[in-house]
Amino acid sequence: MSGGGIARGRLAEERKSWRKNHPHGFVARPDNAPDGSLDLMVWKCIIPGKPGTDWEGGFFPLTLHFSEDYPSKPPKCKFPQGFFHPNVYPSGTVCLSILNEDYGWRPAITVKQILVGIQDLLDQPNPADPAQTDGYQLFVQDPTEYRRRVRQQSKLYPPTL
Amino acid sequence: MENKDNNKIPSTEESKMQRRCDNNKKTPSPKHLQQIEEDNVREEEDFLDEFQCSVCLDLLYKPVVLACGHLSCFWCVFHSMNMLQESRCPICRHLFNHFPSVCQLLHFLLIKMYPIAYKRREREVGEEEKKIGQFSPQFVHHPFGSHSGEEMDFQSNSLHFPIHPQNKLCSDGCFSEEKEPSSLGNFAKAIAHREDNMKIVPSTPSSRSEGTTNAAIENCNMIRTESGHGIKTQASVADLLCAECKKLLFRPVVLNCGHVYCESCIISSMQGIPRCQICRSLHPNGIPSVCLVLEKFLEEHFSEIYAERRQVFAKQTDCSSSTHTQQLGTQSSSVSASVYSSWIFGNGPEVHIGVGCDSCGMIPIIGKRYKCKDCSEEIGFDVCESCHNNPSEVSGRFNQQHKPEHNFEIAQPQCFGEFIQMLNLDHSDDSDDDGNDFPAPVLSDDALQDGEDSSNDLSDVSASVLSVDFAPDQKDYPNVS
Repeated sequence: MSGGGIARGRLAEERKSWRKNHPHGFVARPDNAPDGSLDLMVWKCIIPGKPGTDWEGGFFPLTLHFSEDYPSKPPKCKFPQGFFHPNVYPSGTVCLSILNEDYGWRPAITVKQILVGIQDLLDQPNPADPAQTDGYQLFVQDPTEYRRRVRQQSKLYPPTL
Repeated sequence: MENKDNNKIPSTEESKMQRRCDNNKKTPSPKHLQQIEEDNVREEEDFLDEFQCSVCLDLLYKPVVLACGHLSCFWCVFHSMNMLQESRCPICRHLFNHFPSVCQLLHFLLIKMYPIAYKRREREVGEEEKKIGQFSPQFVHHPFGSHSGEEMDFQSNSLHFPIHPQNKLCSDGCFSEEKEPSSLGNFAKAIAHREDNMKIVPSTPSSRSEGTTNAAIENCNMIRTESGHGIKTQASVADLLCAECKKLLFRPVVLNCGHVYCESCIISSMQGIPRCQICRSLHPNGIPSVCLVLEKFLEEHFSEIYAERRQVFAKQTDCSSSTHTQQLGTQSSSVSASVYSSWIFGNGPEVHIGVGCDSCGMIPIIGKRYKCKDCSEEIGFDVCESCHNNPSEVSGRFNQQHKPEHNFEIAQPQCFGEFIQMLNLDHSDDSDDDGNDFPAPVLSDDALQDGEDSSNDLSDVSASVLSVDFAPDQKDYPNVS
């Protein structure tokens, strides 16, 4: 019962809850499987940069990969490869305490909370836990250049539609 | 300790409609068809947000209350447990090493308030249980849950509705909608009948408050919940009494055995180690934290009586020492993380990885493991040394048909290496190029927008020493009783 049973059921409930209400500007929906049906195990999301920060104006695509062990285990959250942020691995995977089973993950954390948590992380990187050299070094050594790069990246992800 | 519930998701008509539609979409097996049609006639009730399980996000089913006061479904708790070492609360990460028994008071409350939704849950979970061949405990109703006698040994899937003086079942199986006049008197008699071995006299009487409380009970012991679909269900004070003082629960705490007490009743009657007055089982790891979900429900549905109870307690604590609340909720676990790691390195007490005690719920068993030779269920029946020496009448955490005359044998723990092999490690997660060795940035709690209860002890990171890559998967080893 650890597998198929709960993960999909929980994700179906997450979906309902999201459709009912979700934070403004965010998008989260299950991906389309090759046969055209919805794949509940992969969600395509968009995280808007916070107004008033260098991330404003960017709408950053994020993919959530859920395993059959969800919600005992957290989903893997990925930005596009090469995403510029001190706490994002070169592969795009987000490094965040609440997404780490051994640190902060709790099965009670919802998709909403994950996405809002990642939005917060964008403008509040944690230099104590770098995940990429580029973003980390600029963040600690050259704040001006760092901000320029962030603003540049935000322009790369204009609102869709 | 005020609780803002972590993941409140407001329920709306829309979602419940969706839920119903989704239910209907499921292709029913023929034998359930009739049942489902029946349920479609009566629409499913909306349930309160606090009765939503934060793991499966559905109505709580066979709720288990952990020592930190958080609750979740029987299977949701079990499947989030760590079979190698201590587990963490799925809601607050509080450490625990005992899988508590189902809280029957809440179980029967939910049956009463949401008969249709709960029945759907029973059906869905029952099908899943049949698939995996593991079963949750079955209960028949007994208002004050006088323990193991009610854990009946049958595997039928029928739901046993509570039969209360003021809550009769119609012949067609739905609850009577007519209200009988307040029947607390009858109920008290019924209690006296059933529980003649127990004190009915409240343990904290004060003649003045006694009178007013009773008056208040007369006024509002019939709380009616309208679900918006014309289905009326009710929760009465009689469903929510403390096992000790027999009054409406005040600051309810749920022991490891699943029985519910006022916090003050537990503190005053237990000198030292908390022991359940009903089933006599010991509660490990100090006094549990108040179950805030249940407290919120009591406050909202029995506001008058609850406020009176609060006043009475405020007076009492003025006179006596009022320091005990500070001791509460601070105990994280009786087992230090070193116990688990020292076993791995070949010294210290045995740790029976993946095996739990069917009596006290300790997972994994530390010390000697006694395995029943006569239980035939695949999941097996095991007890720890202390439960073996002080046997109680338990029928098993997973509805095993264990009998007192069964024989035990001492089972040796598996060595760690065997266990790892057995797990058939799935390394798919590690194929990523991330090298997840970096500690993750710590996100402040306000980003999560949940007012967590501050008693959570998150500092004990050392406990995660083992959890890195072999969090077990129940599929891979059957012996997880």
